[in-house]
Amino acid sequence: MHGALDRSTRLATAPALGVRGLSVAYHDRPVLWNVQLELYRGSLMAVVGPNGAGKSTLLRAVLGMVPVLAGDIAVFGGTLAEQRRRVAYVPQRSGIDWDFPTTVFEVVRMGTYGRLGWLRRPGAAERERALAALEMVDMVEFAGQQIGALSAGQQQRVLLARAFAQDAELYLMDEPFVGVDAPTEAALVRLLQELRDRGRTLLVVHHDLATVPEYFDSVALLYRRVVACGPVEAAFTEPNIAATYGARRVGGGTC
Amino acid sequence: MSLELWTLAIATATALACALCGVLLVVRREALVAEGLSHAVLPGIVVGFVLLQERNAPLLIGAAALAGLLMVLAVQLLRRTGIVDPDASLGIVFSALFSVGILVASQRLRNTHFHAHCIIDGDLALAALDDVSVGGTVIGPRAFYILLAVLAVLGTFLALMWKELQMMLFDPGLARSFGLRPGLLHAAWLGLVSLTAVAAFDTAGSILVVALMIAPAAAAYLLARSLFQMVWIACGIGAASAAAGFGLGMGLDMTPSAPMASSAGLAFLVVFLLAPREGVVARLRVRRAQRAELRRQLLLHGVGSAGCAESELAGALRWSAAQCRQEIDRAVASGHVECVGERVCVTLAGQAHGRAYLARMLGGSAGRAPDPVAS
Repeated sequence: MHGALDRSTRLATAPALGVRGLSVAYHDRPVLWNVQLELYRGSLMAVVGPNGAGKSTLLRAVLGMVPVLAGDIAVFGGTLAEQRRRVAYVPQRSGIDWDFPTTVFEVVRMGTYGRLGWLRRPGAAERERALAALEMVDMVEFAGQQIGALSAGQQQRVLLARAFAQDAELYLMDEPFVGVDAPTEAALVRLLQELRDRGRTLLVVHHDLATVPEYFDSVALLYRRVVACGPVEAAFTEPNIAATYGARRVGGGTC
Repeated sequence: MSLELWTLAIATATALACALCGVLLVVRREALVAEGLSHAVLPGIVVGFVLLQERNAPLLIGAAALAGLLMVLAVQLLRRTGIVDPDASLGIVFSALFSVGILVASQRLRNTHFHAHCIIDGDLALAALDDVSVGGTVIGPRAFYILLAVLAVLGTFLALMWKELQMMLFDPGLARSFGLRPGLLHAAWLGLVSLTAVAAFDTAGSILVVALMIAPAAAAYLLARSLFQMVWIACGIGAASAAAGFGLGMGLDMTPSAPMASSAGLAFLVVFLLAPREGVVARLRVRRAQRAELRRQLLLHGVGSAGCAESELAGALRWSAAQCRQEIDRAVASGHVECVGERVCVTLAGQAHGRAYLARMLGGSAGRAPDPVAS
């Protein structure tokens, strides 16, 4: 009994994401080395680091998409398998085949398939959720369009809408602002901040150091190891940035 | 039912089963797998025939299909080692297997229907002669029922796994994050493609089956707006090719296998040239319109708000006098410029046209359609 009680408190209060001692390698090359990370519920955290720092690999490891050499990943205090429905993933736009014969609506509706389970077909409820997600990113009028006909910014918004259609609590996003023009980026950032204010947790791989303090409340500086992690004021310091990017990055600046 | 009608029925069932397989292969950009599989199943079929002395036993079909699937998976493993070039690994393994099949067939099956031409292009007319009977009553050619069964299996699998297949094809990462195993689903599908290649072996042979799988699906890919549409368009083209091939075969007094494949190829060619969005003609037309628009814009901005003389304009743009005259005439016809004596002037409509173009092409996100969020 005591154990069960422990478990339920743990599940209710645990951070959205707890990574301890995570190491991942491709062949003989370690990409992540003994990574520690805590992401509290209701925070909007950036993951920054130079190319090859392991930012995408971190997200993919959390999602169980790459084999883990060592370490422990807790999602809301449980395993990923237990908590899968509470997690949504936004892949890099470049990893998607945009020539695939499908429409904006169909792609967004795919976000609802995770809860549907085998053999069940999407119905009116899934349709509603997909349209509501399109509404969030202001793309309803594009619902019937071929995805190949969209601009880069619109494609990015479709991927975000798909994640919103999952109605998750923890969002993992891989470079959601790449190829997006400035006004769209501002609108998307406001959207992410709104989600955070409603209690969702977001971990966003980001490439523009200059906008980190403005967009995010916390940050993880990653170069294979976590150089620093925490509230932006505490972690996003010149020495930490220099340690992450090497001497050439001293002074901050953008990629 | 007459022999002709049975032949048509077998041809249609072959074409439909192949078209369904092709859709997923083409969308996943692995059309070459069809080529490989159609070759890899031959040794399985031949060895099975030598052992069982029967051509169409379900057991034999299943075993040969499984052997084909294992070969494809072996090639994928070989590719993943990175030691052998991907194309080379396909070429090496499948052609070698194919030659083993021919070797065994020529040594052990000299007096059967395993002639070289049957292996390569099948013989639909021959397949229609091989009747099967249930409880003493002849119910029609064995090949028809086998292909019908394969078609049913393919259709059921597609219907039940539709949303999983869609995810597996479009974004395996999403499927994995939902806890699905896209690799397993893909292997299951390849198994069904292998089954189809074996079942269609008698009717389409190992070369023509590739055309029947890929051509309708590749044409449908250029026409369809969704995967669902693509399935139906591919099936339509497949069925039409079967009918056309059957008619052509009758007219030319030959087995319809080859005419069927040619019809499918011809259908692809027509779509490739004339598809409304992706076709060659449509693309050329778009490119021509874009070039005309570019010249129009160069003209408008060359003339400028103050207007200029025609000869000056030709000099500034390095256009010949004749070319310059032609562009001016076109722009006058569309109301973008007007000629006042010797001078060329941009009209109000022309100025608006030029500004809109610059804003679209050079402002903000160059070359992209304006984003609604931005406004």
